[in-house]
Amino acid sequence: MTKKSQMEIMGIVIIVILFSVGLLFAIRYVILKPEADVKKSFIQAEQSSNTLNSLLKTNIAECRNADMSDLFKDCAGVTQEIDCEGDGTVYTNAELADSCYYLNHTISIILSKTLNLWRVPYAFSAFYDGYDPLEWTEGIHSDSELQCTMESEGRPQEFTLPTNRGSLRIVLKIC
Amino acid sequence: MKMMENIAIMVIFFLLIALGFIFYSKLGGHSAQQNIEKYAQQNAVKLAQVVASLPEVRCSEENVPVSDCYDLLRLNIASSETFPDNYGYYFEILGYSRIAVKPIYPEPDDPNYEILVYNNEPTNRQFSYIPIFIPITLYNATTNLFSFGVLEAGLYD
Repeated sequence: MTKKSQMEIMGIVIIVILFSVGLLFAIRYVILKPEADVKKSFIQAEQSSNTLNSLLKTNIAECRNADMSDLFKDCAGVTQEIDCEGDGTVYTNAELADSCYYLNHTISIILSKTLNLWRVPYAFSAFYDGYDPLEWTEGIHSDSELQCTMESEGRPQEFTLPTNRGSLRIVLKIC
Repeated sequence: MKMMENIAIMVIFFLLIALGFIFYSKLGGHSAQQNIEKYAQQNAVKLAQVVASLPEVRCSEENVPVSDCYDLLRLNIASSETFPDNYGYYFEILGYSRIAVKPIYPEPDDPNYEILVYNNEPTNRQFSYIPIFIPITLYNATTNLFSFGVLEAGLYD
């Protein structure tokens, strides 16, 4: 092989290398670029804060139009005072107070017609610092195939309500 | 022989350039489509924010706006009178879009009930509809009670 033809082969090798490098850069920065999903980030922020905000303000007709923040305070407090069913007792059954039952019932209805319907993964919880979540909140979560826990990635929306047992933290996280 | 070598090199060279050009044009088309979708999403988000700030429909307490809250009486008046009677003005603000409010809790008797606040579909072209759903508080000034609802805001793009 002559020296000239070796030079020619070297030339073509350089062209191929340059082309490959260009291709790699294009793939790295154009194809594999993470999509800036404006809608998703806006919706995550809006939906979690609005849902929690609106939930707490909503009046419950069955509980003499008490709003949900009153029910949260009553349910999580030392003693329960709100009689939702007007039957002279503040307990729906032997274990669950009226306020807790109606909170669970109403929040489940609202979330099933909004976040569940839109297939949005979420996690909901209410707890005192350092304590386990209130028992009645454990059944409120998105469909099982939409995995979302408090440990998942995402920013939780949180409200703190003062009660006679301390500060109650209500958290909604949309993943 | 020398001529053949030159021709082979030229063929490979132009083939590589052609491949690069095809690849680049495909990428360009792909990102243009992404940009269109992103633009549509941004517009839907903007629309939702515009609607949320309209004093014609939002709640206020002693002239102070309440965030994420819509007054049911104002919504009904806006949908039946204010928006249709001032079409030109609201077209500039809301364009070709659909804005509806759906009560969620307490549950309405008719599960499909919604207040169609504004709906302006383009008649002279094809369009896609990208709605955004935002949970809101609905205020009934007659009973002084709050309920839970959903705002649907979407653009006909």
